[in-house]
Amino acid sequence: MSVQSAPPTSASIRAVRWSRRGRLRLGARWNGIAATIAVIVIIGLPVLALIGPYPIDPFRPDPNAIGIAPNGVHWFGTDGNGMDVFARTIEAAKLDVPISVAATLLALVVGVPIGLFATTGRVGDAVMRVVDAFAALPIIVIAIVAIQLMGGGAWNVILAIAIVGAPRFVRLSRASAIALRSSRYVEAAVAIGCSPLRVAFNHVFRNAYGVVLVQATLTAANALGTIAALNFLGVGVNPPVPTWGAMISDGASMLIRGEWWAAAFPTLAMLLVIASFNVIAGAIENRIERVERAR
Amino acid sequence: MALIELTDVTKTFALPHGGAKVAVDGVSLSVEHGECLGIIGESGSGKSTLGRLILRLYDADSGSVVLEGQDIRALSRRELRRHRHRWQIVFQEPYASLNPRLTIGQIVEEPLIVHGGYGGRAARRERVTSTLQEVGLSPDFLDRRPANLSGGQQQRVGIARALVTDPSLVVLDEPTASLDLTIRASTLRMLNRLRESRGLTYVFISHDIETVRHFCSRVVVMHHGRFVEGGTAQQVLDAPVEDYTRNLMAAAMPPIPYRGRTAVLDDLDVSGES
Amino acid sequence: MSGLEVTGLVTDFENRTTSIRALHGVSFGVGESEVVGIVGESGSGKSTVVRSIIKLLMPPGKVTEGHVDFYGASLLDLKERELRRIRGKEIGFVAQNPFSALNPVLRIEKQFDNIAKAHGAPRGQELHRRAVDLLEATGVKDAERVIRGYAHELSGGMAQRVVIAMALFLNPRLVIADEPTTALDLTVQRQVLDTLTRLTVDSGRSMLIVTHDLGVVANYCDRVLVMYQGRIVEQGPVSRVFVTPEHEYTASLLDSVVRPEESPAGGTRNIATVGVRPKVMEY
Repeated sequence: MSVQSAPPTSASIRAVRWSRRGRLRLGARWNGIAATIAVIVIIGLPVLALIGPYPIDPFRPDPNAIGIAPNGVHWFGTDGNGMDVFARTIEAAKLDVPISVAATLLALVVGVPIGLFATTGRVGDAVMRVVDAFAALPIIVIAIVAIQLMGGGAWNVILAIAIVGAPRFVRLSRASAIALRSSRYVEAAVAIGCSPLRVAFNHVFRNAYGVVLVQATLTAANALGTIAALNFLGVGVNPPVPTWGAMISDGASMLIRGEWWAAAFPTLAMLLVIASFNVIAGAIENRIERVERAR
Repeated sequence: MALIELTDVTKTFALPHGGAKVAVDGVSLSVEHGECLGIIGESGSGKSTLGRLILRLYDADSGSVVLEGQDIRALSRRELRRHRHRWQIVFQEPYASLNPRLTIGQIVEEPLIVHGGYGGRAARRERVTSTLQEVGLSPDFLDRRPANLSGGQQQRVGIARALVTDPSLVVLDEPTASLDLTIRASTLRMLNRLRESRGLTYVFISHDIETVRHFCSRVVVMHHGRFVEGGTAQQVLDAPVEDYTRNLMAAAMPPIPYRGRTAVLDDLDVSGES
Repeated sequence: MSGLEVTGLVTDFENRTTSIRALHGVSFGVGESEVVGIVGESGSGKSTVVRSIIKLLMPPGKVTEGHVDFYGASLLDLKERELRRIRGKEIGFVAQNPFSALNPVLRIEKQFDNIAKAHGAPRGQELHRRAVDLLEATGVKDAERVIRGYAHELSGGMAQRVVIAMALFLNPRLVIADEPTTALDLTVQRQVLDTLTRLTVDSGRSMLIVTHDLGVVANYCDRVLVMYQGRIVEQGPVSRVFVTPEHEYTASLLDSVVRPEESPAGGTRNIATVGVRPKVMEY
């Protein structure tokens, strides 16, 4: 079992530490457990939404039960339209989580190859200027504009967020490519006759994918927040399909009356998923660090 | 036909803060099949650059580089890649030259995959195993990672990778400089054995005079990008003609035959108790 | 008792789960005006020895047993404050990479000043004069300019000479050099070693040189300690050890740098160290 990177003066291994970037970093034993829980949450919620028959139908408003506090029948209470908050919270996971993951994947698949290859010369510089331009755009504003232009709906949301999220991956993989391309083993790969494509993927990316993975999980967390914001503003997916952002927006008007549940539970659900993404990011960082130290 | 024919090769690098450094300055060289040519020089002499120019890992600015009758500089990048299996290189830093995320088996197999024509998976694996055995590594090493090997073993993997496609030329860029003394000796003996059994031609780049003396038949001395002197190992190392070479040989410190500290102190003209 | 006397030095590297013994009871001495070479391959413990002596071991290394006597002072028992006084003033240290020993953001003169400040030596005009003199003695050309400049302006050889000058600045009685010339070109190596020799011989200083290069030992050392896997396998005058080695390992070391016919050992011995990697710790 390897030793953690805590200061070696004290022999104790603290179970929980904060990494330099403020992300939760766990001792080796808890690392795996937390990551597993996080993955279960992230995969489990949408699956639950897909399979579960709900105690109450999320789409049927009950005019007799508007704005009811959590009770035995409506576990999370009901919202302003009399719809069950619990069922809708779970159902929203069917859209929110997969969309953020999909947007992230799209950003990754587009961004990483661009970064790996746009490393040198005029072409590289030109590409980076374009990427910088994209990166400078405020996400929400662009997403709104894009959706207004393309229309709402899940796919366009994915596209909009992917476009704005891709620059991160371009920059990251490009930085790795530049750093690694002067490695001796990259030179060796060229010397044995590898094509640039093979060098990029079998040698450069293979040694850099860890940071990309971490960035991906964090981008997913971010994407979720962005999606919620879009839905909160009424842009994006249309009602009556439940999304956390829309639910929070609806529930916000009830807050003044002290009716917290319609806004609180979707918020909690979001926080749970975002936290899970962060935990996974920390777990991957831990793995990477341990692999690095074994060198 | 000589294996390597360099004519008036030049390479200049731009320096980061402006200006340029001429690394290789109009060098001409010819190496015959089966030779072991030593290129001696201090750091900055251009010897490593020359080694890479021979294989076109760097592009020469001018001059001609002809390997086995093939004008290297005239080839397109793709054509060049396709010829690489014939002319290989072993680097100085054993660990750094191996991809840390691959297994030994994958590292040595890669040239076979890249060039194709070595049969299917089983045939390739067979070839990898036998090449590893030639360099003294058992099949146990196939699934290990570079980090779990000693420096000497890592370098042998590098050598195996260079040999697996049955090249005719191997450029050895200070292959033993990073290895321990006893490992150096055994590695050099192995390289010699491989040269004889496979009929290889070596270009051996080094700053270590003793090593070159025992390993190479012909030697050239490089300084500031040019050849200063050349000849058989005996001629250049034991009876150097040029001033630079003589200074270089005078700086060498072979422990045997033992001259001892008194001799050095006499040279320095200081008193000393010993 | 004059000089350095090391007895039974044992050093371990331990973490939570394992403990690796790097030195198995090393004993030797360095007399006044002597130059002793410690030679060995990687993992032999040669660097660990000198770092243990002046307690500059990186954790998780620890000196577990042993005694180090330096001109009457027991180094291992001293508190860190007292040891720091000895380090630098009585014992100078020259490391392998001059650029890691020199502070890249301070002028050379300021670094001399820091040394003086730490040990209560005179500063100001006198410091400047003494530093320039010493730099010139080490063969640094244009010492006035060098002292006003920065480390990165120097070549490897020059930088190492500056490091040597700093190590000698307070007139130590012992200079420890850990692979001082490994990173340098051959001709520069000779110059730097000649410099070290010239500056230590006449002043009665002793020197302990750690190296893997047998040539350095042969030409610059009076006595040699041959180390292998944490133990001294042979020690004695270089004139004896290199001509008629007694231990197999010494013989195989000598074998590996010369042709078998020329080797005093007859060139037939070969310790099976090939491929054996000393246990390394993950810490």
